[in-house]
Amino acid sequence: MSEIEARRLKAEEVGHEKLILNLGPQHPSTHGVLRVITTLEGERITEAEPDIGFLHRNFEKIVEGWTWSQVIPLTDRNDYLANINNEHAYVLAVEKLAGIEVPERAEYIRVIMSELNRIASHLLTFGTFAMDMGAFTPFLYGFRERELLYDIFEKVTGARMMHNYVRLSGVRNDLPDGWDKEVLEFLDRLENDVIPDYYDLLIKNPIFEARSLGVGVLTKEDAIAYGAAGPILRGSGIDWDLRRDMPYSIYDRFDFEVITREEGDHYARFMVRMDEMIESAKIIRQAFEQMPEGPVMGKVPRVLKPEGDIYSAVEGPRGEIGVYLVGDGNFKPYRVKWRAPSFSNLSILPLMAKGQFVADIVLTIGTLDPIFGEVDR
Amino acid sequence: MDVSKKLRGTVRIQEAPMTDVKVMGSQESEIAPGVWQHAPGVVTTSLQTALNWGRQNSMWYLTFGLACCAIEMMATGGSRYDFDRFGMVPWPSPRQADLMIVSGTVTEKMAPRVRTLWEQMAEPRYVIAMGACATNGGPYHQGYNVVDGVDKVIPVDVYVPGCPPRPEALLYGVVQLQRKINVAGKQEPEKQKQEKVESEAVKEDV
Amino acid sequence: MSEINEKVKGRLIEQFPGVEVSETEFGQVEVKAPKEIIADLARFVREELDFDYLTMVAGVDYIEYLQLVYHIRSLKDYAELIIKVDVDSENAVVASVAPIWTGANWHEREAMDMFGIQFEGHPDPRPILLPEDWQGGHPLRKDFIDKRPKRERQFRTR
Ligand code: SF4
Repeated sequence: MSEIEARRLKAEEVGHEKLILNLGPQHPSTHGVLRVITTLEGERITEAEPDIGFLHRNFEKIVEGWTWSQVIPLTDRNDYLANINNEHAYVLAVEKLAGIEVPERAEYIRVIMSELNRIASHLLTFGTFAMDMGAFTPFLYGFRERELLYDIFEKVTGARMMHNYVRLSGVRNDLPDGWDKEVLEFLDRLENDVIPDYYDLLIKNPIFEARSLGVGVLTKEDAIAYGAAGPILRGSGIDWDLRRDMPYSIYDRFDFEVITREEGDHYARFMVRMDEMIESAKIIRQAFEQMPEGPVMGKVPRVLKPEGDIYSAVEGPRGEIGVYLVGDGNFKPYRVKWRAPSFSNLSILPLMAKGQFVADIVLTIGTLDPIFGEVDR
Repeated sequence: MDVSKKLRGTVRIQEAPMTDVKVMGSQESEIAPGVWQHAPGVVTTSLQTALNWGRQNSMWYLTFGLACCAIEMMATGGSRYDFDRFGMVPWPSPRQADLMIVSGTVTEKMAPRVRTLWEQMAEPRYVIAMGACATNGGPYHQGYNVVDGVDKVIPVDVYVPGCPPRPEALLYGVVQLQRKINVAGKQEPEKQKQEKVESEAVKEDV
Repeated sequence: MSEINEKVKGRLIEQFPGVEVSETEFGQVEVKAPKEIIADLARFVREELDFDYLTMVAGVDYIEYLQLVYHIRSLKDYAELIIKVDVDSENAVVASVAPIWTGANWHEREAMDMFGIQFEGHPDPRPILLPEDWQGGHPLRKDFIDKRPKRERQFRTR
């Protein structure tokens, strides 16, 4: 027996010490202010416990003092990567509750903007996930395209991120002339140049595959039991998309595929996002073709005093954004409950991290893609 | 002086007020105020000017995103706006960082952590409050868990308004901070001092 | 869609004669149940009626009483179910549904923070969103007052 081997055996006899490691709240790869308390045995995680609430901004309490339409700009800031989707979720709920009609053209504009926002969000996820893996360049590539999208948004809404564009019974203003051409150009570029570029740059890379294939597997049963949403649900092989299965707005008029993958690992979730961008592009193209002329704002009663309660949901980039509203016949909402997809998604982390290497938990957080504005609200 | 012995060469560093460095026939450089040129290739300056010059052109900022403004901070560090032009490098550890960009809402739970991070940074350290939330609570100032402005927790050098500020605004804030660093620790020029005294005298008269 | 709703309503009334079952104008089945049977109801709904996906647990403060709202989907039948349970404000204790839908864990912890509702049989009853040393009460109750002391502005000393 060589000396090294003897030493190794001795070390095994002694056993490994347990180590408690704190990740965050300031950690370059926790995507915001998440703290994870991990218990390690060697390099394996035996227990991971997320500690959240560092960005608890009291959205639900503050809006109880505001009028129904004042809430819209604040919903932007919940999931700050899916601004239009958030506005859409809230506005849709109020419209249903108060029985407000929306003009046809406004519906189309909402769909186009929502899908563009989904692309923007997935582009950022692409970049940050690669950064978690140690590759910095894809982040710059992701932002190159996002800047183009920012320009497109800016032409319509005037803002880069916080649009405050969707209004009760419509949208704030019509699309500027020639805007659709720009969008279509962007989509062509996305499909023909950008995404193939990304494949060459990152996805075909052997290191990328080695670190993502078969790592962090989430089974179908667990995904449903934890209420996982969006790409995480679909990455585990569950064919569920609110846009198709419980169509809201005008999503039943478009022909698109719901991307699913059976494996449930990092790679599957990542690829679901990549493919969803292409599906979004499809929807936008169809929407431009079908879009009628007409007004973009309908009639809203001057004093809005809806009564009753409602749960309504839309499919955001991270999954089901649900809004539960209670109105008591007053000009202010009585209760606004925000069902945030990231909140449910993040609650799976202890399960997924168990038994992983400590280096992989960073990637797990990356694919769960939590946004803390929305987790903590 | 040890430093000047070590660094003797083309740049001579003296610890002396700027006004004493003037030598007959030398002139102040136009592009770098505070640097005096005596002969081709020979310049002198005060230690403070040299230090400030170094500090202002390599501010490493802590990668520390709090909320929505962090996305705009990332955009500023990203492809189009490119923070690196100003010598700014994102740095994950507070120990080596010079600048903390507080980008987002500070809550009661986060405030002690922000303070700790700031205390872990080495002097000289600078803080930029980015966005309405870090300045005074912004849209969330009514919240029961929101600290109305990060200046209640740590001292702030530059405030950048906006919700979120555009990258141009953040860059402007950084340039302002560079100007602030540039004048730090220098003696006030005689002329300004006199003006100040005069203006105070006027106040007393009134 | 409505066929399934009819079926769900029929089964619920058959199994739990006491509960109020109705259908909202947005095509969701709504059940108002007393808090004693919530665990049985949840198990029945999960196992017999295939409502497997819990989206949210929301608390509402109606001043005289608190209400818990569970929204559950059936991914197989494309149906939605809302369960409403009234809870006493003073003595707010209710059985946890986290053993039935694992995802309810965090949602219930949130309701615990915000409304002070205690969940019996919850696997991990700790605060989640509020700071560890929070003393201020339950923020989303209507009678909540923010009693934090004012903070002083900090200035640079060197
Ligand atoms: S200032 Fe606005 S954008 Fe920035 S963190 Fe606050 S709410 Fe978000």
